[in-house]
Amino acid sequence: MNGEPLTILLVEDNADHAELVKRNLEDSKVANQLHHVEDGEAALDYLHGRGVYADRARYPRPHLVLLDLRLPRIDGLEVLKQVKSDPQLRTIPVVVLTTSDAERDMALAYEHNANSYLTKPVDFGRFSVLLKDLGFYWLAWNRSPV
Amino acid sequence: MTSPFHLSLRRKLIGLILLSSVLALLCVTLAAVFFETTTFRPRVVESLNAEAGVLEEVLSASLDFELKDAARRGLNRHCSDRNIVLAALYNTESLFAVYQRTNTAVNPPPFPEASGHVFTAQQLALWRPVRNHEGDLIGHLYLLQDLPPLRARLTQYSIMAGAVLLALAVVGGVLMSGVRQYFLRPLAALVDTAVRVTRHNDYGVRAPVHRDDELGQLAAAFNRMLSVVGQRDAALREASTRIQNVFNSATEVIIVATNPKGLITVFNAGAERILGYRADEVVGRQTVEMFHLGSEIEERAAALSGRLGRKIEGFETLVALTRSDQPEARECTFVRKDGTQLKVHLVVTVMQDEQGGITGYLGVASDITELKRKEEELQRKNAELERFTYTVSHDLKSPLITIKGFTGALTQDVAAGRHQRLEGDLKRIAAATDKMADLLNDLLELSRVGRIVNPPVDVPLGDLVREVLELLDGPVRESGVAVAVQPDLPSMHCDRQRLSEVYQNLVENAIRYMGGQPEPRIEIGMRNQDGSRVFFVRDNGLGIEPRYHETVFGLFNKLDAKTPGTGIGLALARRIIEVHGGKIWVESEGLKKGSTFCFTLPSTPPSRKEKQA
Repeated sequence: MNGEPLTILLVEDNADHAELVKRNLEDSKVANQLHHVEDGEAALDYLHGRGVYADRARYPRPHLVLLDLRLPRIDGLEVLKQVKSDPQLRTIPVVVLTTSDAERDMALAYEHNANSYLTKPVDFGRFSVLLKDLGFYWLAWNRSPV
Repeated sequence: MTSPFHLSLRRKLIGLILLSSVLALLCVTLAAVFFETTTFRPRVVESLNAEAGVLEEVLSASLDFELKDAARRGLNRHCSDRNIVLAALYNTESLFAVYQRTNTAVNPPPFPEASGHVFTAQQLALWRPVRNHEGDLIGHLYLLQDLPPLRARLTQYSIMAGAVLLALAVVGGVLMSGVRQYFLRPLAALVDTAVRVTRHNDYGVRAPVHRDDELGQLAAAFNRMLSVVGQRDAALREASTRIQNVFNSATEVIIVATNPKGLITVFNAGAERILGYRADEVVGRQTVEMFHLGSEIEERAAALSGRLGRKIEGFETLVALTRSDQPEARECTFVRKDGTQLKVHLVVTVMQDEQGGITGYLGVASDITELKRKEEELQRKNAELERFTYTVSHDLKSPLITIKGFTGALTQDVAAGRHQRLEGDLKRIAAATDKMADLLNDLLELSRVGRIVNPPVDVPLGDLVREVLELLDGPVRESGVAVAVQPDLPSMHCDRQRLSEVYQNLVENAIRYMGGQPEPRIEIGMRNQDGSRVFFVRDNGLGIEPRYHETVFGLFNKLDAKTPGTGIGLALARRIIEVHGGKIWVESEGLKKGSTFCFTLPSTPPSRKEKQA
């Protein structure tokens, strides 16, 4: 660990869920900086560093993207497709974090090269554990070229 | 030229009788000629000779004693009352005595000649030697006799011929009437019967049988044949009618039979009804390819060529499998006479004779257009249902996660004595609960739209829109939107309550997505497009990019997470319009270009069936 906070881009249209994710990741003791966008368009703008997200010092390239599938305007799957087909962005691990446990969604996500697919547990305890593990796994254990 | 063989039997007979009459006449003529030469002339000669004999007796003494006067008297006495024109008696050297009928210019020959006779046209000249009692030649006798005139003879002959002809005519007539009575009439009756049978297909008529001769037997045989043929015909007709009835009762099924080359031989009532051709237009004239979709035949030809390993094209495409004893049942497309298409399920079987030779093919096809349409509708409905359950499970789960999540956080915070976030978390929980309640209400509403339909009534849309605007008076005034309503909106037969909801949703949306337009305006109206009425609600607000034109109608889909509402409005509007059998869509050139929500309402209101659906 180099001590530099790891950047996470959270793409989530539900403010409450975003808050829950944020709190649990804060509790996970892994140094991180969470950026939250609410729709697919904003997510792509952030990742490409354009528009309001042009300032890379404020909005650094994320080490991990947490992506909800059901998003207004551009949905999560489309975001995933664009990220994974962009040579600049495709190395960023994208973890789908969604309420949907539909087989079709999961299959489609992996088809479009999602790095992981997680369903938000309804139970709070499990939700906390999931996010803590997620933090550890992707930010501490996992190594990825950045 | 007419060959005599083509003449009727009666004429032939008449001809035959005529011919025999002519022949008979010829015979009479020949007989006359024969009579003339063999009977008449010798008789005249003999008779004259006899005269001469008598004269010889009378005159030989006169000649012997050279008594010229006695000789002349003898000649005169003997010849004057007969046909004799000239009689001359010669001694051995010269003329001795002459009898000449008065008014006769003929002179006797100067010198005697040897015995004999000469016929001229009207006369007979006879020389006879005259002998004395001792048998010595003492002179010659010359007699010239008028023959009965030829004309008289001809008259005689004509009378003969006439008599013969008359006899012939009588015999011919009798024969003819006999022939007619005994041959022609029964034959004509037979012919008449045969004609009636063929012309009227009436196997009930019978030829009259009067006698036991060959004609009678023929008529009887003919009648027996008629009765057998009649029975067969009746049986055949019955069988044919039965089959025809089967074919024609099958009005829901296309039954088409072809010869081995594909030429149509049977085209049933179902085929006529479904395909629009009349049987007499196609039977014997067209091949079945005419109502197959050309592109499908080509496709199938290519596929079958590959599968069977040889070139298959045209009509063979339709029967190749059947002919190689493989099942031929499939779905394909037929083209009606008017060019429209229909989906059919087609079964092709091969028809064979007793020896196994192919006599043709039988195609039975049923119209599955409706089935296909229902299948597609079912698939669409299933997909809709799937989307619906997916959406519902996702959207209902979402507030649940919030509630459980913050309840958990709350519990932890309370246990840890951290109270600063309690109020916020409780508010989140309350909001999520409200959201869930809203979603549940919306869902109920949505399901009700499909189930509960108020009886359709004639609704003056102008009034309806005015009512909606009164309902929305508050929001309209708050947002400062100018609303223009086309004055001459028509009346539509529809569910008043539901249509009111559609207008409410559209106007609310228009107000909600004005996007800071300084002069917000909403226009409600109707336009005619492709012959149907298109109703619209147009705004000059935010607009919708073309890629979202479909998603905005999705359940709980919102373009902006922050705007109020669950995102059910347009889904509801779509459902209402679709239950009415109409369509709803949005027209917008993009952001800041305003949106026009359009819908159609077919003239027929939602049916009972849809109400229960």
